[in-house]
Amino acid sequence: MESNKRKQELLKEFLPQLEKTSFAWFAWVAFLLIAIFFAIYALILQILRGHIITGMRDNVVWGVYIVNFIFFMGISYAGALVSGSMHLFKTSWRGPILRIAELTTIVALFIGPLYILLCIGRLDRLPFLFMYPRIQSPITWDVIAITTDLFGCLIYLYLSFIRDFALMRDSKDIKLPKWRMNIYKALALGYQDTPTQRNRIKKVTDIMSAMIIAIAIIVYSVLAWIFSVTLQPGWHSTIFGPYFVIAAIFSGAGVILILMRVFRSIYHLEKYITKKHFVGVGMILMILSMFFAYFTFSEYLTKWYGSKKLDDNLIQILFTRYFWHFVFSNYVGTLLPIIIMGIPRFRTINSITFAAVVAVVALWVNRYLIVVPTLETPYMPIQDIRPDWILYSATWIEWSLTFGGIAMFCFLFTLAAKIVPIIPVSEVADAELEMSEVLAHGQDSHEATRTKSIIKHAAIKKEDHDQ
Amino acid sequence: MINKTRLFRQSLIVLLLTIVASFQLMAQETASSIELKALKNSDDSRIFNVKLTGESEAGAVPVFEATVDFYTIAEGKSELVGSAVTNKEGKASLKLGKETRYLKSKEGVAEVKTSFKGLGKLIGSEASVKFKELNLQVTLSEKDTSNTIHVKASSIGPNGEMIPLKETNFNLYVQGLFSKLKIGECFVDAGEGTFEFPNNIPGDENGNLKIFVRLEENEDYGEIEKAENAKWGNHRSGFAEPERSLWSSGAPIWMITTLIILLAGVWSHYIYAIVQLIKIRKEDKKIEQK
Repeated sequence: MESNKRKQELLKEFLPQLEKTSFAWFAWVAFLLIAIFFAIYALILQILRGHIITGMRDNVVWGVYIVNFIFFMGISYAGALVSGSMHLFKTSWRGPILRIAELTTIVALFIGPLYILLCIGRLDRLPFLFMYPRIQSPITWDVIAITTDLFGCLIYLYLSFIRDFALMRDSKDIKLPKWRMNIYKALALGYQDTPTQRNRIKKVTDIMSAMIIAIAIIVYSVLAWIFSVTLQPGWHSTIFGPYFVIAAIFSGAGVILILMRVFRSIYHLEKYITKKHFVGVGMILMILSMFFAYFTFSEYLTKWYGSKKLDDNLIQILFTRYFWHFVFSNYVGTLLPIIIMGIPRFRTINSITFAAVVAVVALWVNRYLIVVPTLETPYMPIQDIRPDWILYSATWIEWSLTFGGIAMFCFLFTLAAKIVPIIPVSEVADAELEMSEVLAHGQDSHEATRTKSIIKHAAIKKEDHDQ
Repeated sequence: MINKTRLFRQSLIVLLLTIVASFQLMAQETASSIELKALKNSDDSRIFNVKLTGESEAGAVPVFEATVDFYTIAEGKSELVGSAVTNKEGKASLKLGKETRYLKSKEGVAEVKTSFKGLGKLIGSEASVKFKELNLQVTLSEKDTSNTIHVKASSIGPNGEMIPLKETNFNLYVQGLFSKLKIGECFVDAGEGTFEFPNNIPGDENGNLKIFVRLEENEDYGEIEKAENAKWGNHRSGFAEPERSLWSSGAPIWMITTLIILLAGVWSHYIYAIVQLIKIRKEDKKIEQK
């Protein structure tokens, strides 16, 4: 009963976010919708005129679309890994971060695969991928993996929402339209917070959190294998699986930090998302940046030392044409989080967010450097072809669709934050209760130990006295 | 005052020099290059293939949608025989039938010139090929198990007389799926040569083969080709496809097993989660009934 009361109190704090819509909110949504519609216009042009209006040609067949695909999928897997790990290992400060991580997972997972569709020249052949799949093809692996991951993440997200849906359904203070309340009622699935139901949810959430960690690792490895099973210079690498996984969590942790900062300011969540949370996720960011730097160094060192002709060409291109991109993505992007988190004086919320922004942009550039320079270094000699067919440069169509994807991500996140509280109310209330119980239990046990000690001491004294 | 006048003059000179330099830059022209190859076909027609490129900083760049003219020339005379337009790769071809009469020199040498007149800042260019008429006959004979190709070749003299060809190599090819496969050479002397056809060349499903006898890059006669069909192919039903492999239609068993185990493991947990959610719903109904 006490728990339920606390949950309702907590929910009451977040109700204004769900009930009230400010002018700034509408302006923000309008801005996002303009960006999305502009991207749709670019898409229509691309469909009507074909891929000739993009920068992609016979040699560089993948451009920023595939970079965005890898980027969004990475963010998604990172969200799954962070939320799954925190839940599974019962991280004490997980509460306020969990929902942001879970929403990041699902929103990014909806947007990422859309970029694959933008890459395909003959969309009419897309059904063949499902009608005549070849199990040997990494593309088939990816289709299976992404579908499986999407289902898993949806179930996990729903499990994490169900208790808050029930809270909203039962709230007497909530002032929302009837249709919205009916939706909450339907989605709450009759959850009454009975001990049996609570145990069921807990058990299934534990299982699913373990599952989505495993799936995220497998799925992102599969994505890496699409590149590494080819013999292309720069792609054919045995460490690409773990390298991609690390890069994914690295970028995802950065996005979570940025979102934490954004929602903390907009919804005034200073009480819930504290510096402790920023430092916690920032530490994860720092450790991952170290791993990422290690993998990057290992990858390029072995290629450089091996001195295979095409690997040499690729490294030459990376250190000449793409010099500043390379320095930014692999030096600045990795060193900055280490410096900011490594020196306690620098660990402020703003500086950690700044490090996260730099890391996220650097990771996007890193994916660009993985995809484009390799395709500009083909095995077959290129003769009698215009330079703009050999070298890739994204057109405004591709940039519009890229920013459209980012706008879509922000739009879906904004909508989600209007549907459910951005802080998992039940989770935070339970965590508070658990903490208070631990403290109370801790005091009791301390009292008991003290009493036992006094009794023992008295007994020893009595024995001494008797002797 | 003097300084201002000097400054004005100097500025004017600099301005004029800049204008002259920009005009020179604007007027900068680019050279083009044209390649011409001729091939005489089995039906005695000739195909003239042209490749037109323009020079750029990045190297040769194909010139597309440009018109090239073809002329037959000899002893100062020139006649237009046709024109063609280059494609995106800068290539164009012109086929002239056997009835085409080429201007010839006293020695019986014909010359065909191709000319690109230039386009905008692209300077025009020319190329030409010379050839003499050659009468080429190919006959195929079968005896017991051996198949033989007989090649007869004679040049046509200025007065129309036949002069047997001396000491010339002809290349022999069979048509493959994508390109021609060279199977050997036939040495022709005194106008005749023979070549024993190998019996291990696979043909189509009926054993049909298309055989080409080609005279290539010859200084006097250019390129000449004669094709014949023969049922000399050693038919095979194709390579036996490995039952299960990475490249066959059936995936390796280990791959299927791994995928099934993984998917079964994951999806069974999903089903378990959904079942638990259904149970939660059912429990609610029971609570309501109570």
